[in-house]
Amino acid sequence: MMQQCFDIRTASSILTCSQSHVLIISLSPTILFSPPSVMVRKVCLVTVGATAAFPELVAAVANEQFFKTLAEKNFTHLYIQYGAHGRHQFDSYLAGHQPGDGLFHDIDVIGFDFDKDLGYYMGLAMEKKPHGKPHQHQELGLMITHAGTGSILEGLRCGLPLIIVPNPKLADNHQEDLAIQMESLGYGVMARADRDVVSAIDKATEQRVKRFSPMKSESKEDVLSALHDQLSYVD
Amino acid sequence: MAFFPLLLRIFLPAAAIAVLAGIIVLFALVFSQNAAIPKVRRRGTPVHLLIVLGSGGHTTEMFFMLEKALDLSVYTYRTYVVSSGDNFSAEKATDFEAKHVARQLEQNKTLTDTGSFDVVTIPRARRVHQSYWTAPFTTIQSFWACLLVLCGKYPNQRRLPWKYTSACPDIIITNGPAVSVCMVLAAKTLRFFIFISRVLSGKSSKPAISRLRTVFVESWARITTLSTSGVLLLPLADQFLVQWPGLAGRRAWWGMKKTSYVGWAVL
Repeated sequence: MMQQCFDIRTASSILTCSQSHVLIISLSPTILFSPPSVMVRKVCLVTVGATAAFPELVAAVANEQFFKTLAEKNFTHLYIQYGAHGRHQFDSYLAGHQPGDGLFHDIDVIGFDFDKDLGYYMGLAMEKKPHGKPHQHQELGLMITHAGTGSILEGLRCGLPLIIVPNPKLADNHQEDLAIQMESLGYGVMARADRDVVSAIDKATEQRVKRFSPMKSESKEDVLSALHDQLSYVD
Repeated sequence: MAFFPLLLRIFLPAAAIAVLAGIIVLFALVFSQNAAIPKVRRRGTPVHLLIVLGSGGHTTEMFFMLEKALDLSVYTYRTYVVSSGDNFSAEKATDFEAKHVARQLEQNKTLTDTGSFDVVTIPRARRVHQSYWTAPFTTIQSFWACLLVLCGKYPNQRRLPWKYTSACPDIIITNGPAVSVCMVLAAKTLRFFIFISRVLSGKSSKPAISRLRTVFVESWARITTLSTSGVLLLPLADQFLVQWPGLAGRRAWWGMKKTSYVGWAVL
């Protein structure tokens, strides 16, 4: 077990400077060493956004209470996109622990600063049970995200349970607007970075309401027809 | 008293010209948003669509939207405009084209010609952390670049195939990055001068294909308030679409076109 923990640590520190998907899979200790019976992956993906720093969200994730809760919910992997500014903060948290002290609760931790293909990681968090390939089974995971449009939309498209954490420092705080609206419509759970991220995990994993049903307008007009109107063809 | 004649000679005429220009602009805006588009375009003719991309969120949203709305049999030429330094959007545009072409070919077996596309990089209106004192100058630079792009004359822009009768794009679609304000303003300015030249040359009574039409889609993240770009473009865009019911029916002022609610355009 100590060996495995150590492997995780080295894996994550190498991955901070690499974005290669192949590397992640080949270094991921569960795939290499664990017996097939425990190979059902359950991934928690954390994204803090690419442009603005969000140290509060990194701090909310880099603590023992968080890992403990994830372990209770049978999560096996934590992928964290901590942004250009969060790398030092996250690495120093990892460095503060000795291998084998149990603080990660056997969860594989993999951090990276930015990847233009977040969809790949979301794919890892989706429920997949390919027939006859038990070692590729995945349970429905969880996504904890800043309230950025791109991340939320991609999460909704993948049908992931969402915890939406607004970054209050951003201009006119419109992230909070969006997060409140998403929660009230049942598309996700809103949490504050400094308070209830951990307690939101319960709520979000239980909420499976309407992840795949976007809001529709009663009128027949949409982007397609609007563009078409502007072209104004001869009838 | 040398002061009084100076006032009369310079300031009063200047003020008069400014007021007159203001009235013309106001009138042109009202007229432009309310005028019917002449129905002269024939089906099957090539259409040039210009897509303005911005930073991360805007770009992601735009491609989610285009995935649903971009019919390659109609929009035969696509120009993607990105700001300098934004490699993410430029890469995404190329990726999207490859994926979308493959997808549409699979869905529509009768589709043979998927057209072509171009990615044009123009200078940024205001860089992050740039001082507000120099911002007006870079904005003018960006506006000028937009004008050139719309005329097909920007240095790194590809030349359109011969079958396109005009270098100007037929439709401009954008969803709110700062550069979109420059682009829509540039389109309106060009159209104003095209209109004036048609009036002066006596061709204005003959209906012509209307180009440089602008469609603005407010960001999905905007639920109760319009974005800054949205507020600025409310009197300028030909079609203003919003994705939440709370923003429906807004208009710049009395007599102007209202925003229309189209539901989520992004999923």
